[in-house]
Amino acid sequence: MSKSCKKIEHLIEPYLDDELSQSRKEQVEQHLNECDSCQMALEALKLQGGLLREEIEAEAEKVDFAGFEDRVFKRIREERPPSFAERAGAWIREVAYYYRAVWITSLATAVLLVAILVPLLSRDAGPGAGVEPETKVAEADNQVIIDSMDYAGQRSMIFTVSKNNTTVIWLYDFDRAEGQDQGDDI
Amino acid sequence: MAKDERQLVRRAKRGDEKAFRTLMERYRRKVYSIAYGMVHNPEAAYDISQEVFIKVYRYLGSFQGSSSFYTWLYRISVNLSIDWLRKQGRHDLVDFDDTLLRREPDGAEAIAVPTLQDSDPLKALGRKELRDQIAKAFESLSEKHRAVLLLREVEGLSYDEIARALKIHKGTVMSRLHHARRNLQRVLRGYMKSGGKEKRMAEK
Repeated sequence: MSKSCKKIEHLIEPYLDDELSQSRKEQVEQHLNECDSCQMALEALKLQGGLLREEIEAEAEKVDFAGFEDRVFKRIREERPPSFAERAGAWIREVAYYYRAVWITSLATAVLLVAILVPLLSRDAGPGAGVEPETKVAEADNQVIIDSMDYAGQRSMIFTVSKNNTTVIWLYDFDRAEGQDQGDDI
Repeated sequence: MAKDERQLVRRAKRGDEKAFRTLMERYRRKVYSIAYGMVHNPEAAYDISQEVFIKVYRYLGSFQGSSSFYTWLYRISVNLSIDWLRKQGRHDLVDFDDTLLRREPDGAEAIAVPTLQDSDPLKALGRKELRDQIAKAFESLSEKHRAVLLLREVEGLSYDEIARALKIHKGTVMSRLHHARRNLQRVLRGYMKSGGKEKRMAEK
């Protein structure tokens, strides 16, 4: 087996099954034109697949399906229908599988959000956190507390320094802030 | 075709028996092919085909339109066939591990069929005889390898569709397919060698 055969052999089945990109397909075709043994391997695969299909189809052709649908409906009426729990179970299995991309992504997003928000929030609430270096006071009893709350539809930040009993309440409004950013404030 | 099918499925979901009848007429032979390929018993395959449609009718409400109707239908067909085999006690005792088989001493990854070069197997054996041998070799494969090969060779599903139908990864589809095909070739190759010789002896 030549080097180029080794490169191409794992592509022969996907080629046969029409699962290759155009460029890969051309690559395989070029090799097949030059290589009898790979061409032969491809033909053998085609042959056995064709034979299997013929065999199964010939068996299926023998079957007389007259009255098949009536028999199915008859059995549907005779047999016990599945319980609600059975149907619900089937539904959950289908949803869990087909929407796995959705729920796995949602779950991952939720985990990520928790991982980011929890440390952020706990840092905001913690004493001394978020203080600019110039406002930092050496004494232990000097605490700076930053809090935030919603008030009358506005968001406010409360900034409290315990030593000189200073409290700054900063009210701000997202809409207006955005408007100013965009220079729309006429 | 696809749109018309979605409509049929929607109508059947609402309890339209005529729509469901049309779906059955369209798919009964395909479902039968899968069942037959899995169990190799015409009566059982017919019965399984009926059961498949009964189940489809009852669980149509849980069918998610995001996948094709037929991948769902084929999954039920494969599963009910395997259930039947289990009830018969004919489940696979040894679970074939694709990776193990690849490490066999002769196990170059190549799909080598040198015998085809030596003689024309179609002339030596006759197509029907060869077909029987393929069928026999196919029967000797494990359930999961049969299922993948059936969905690919007989029903013409893509790798992605097979993966969805059997709820396995696309890579698993490819490795099972490769494994199944290699095994068919091995049996065929052996047969062609001996079969060819027998034929020649008989002619003398």
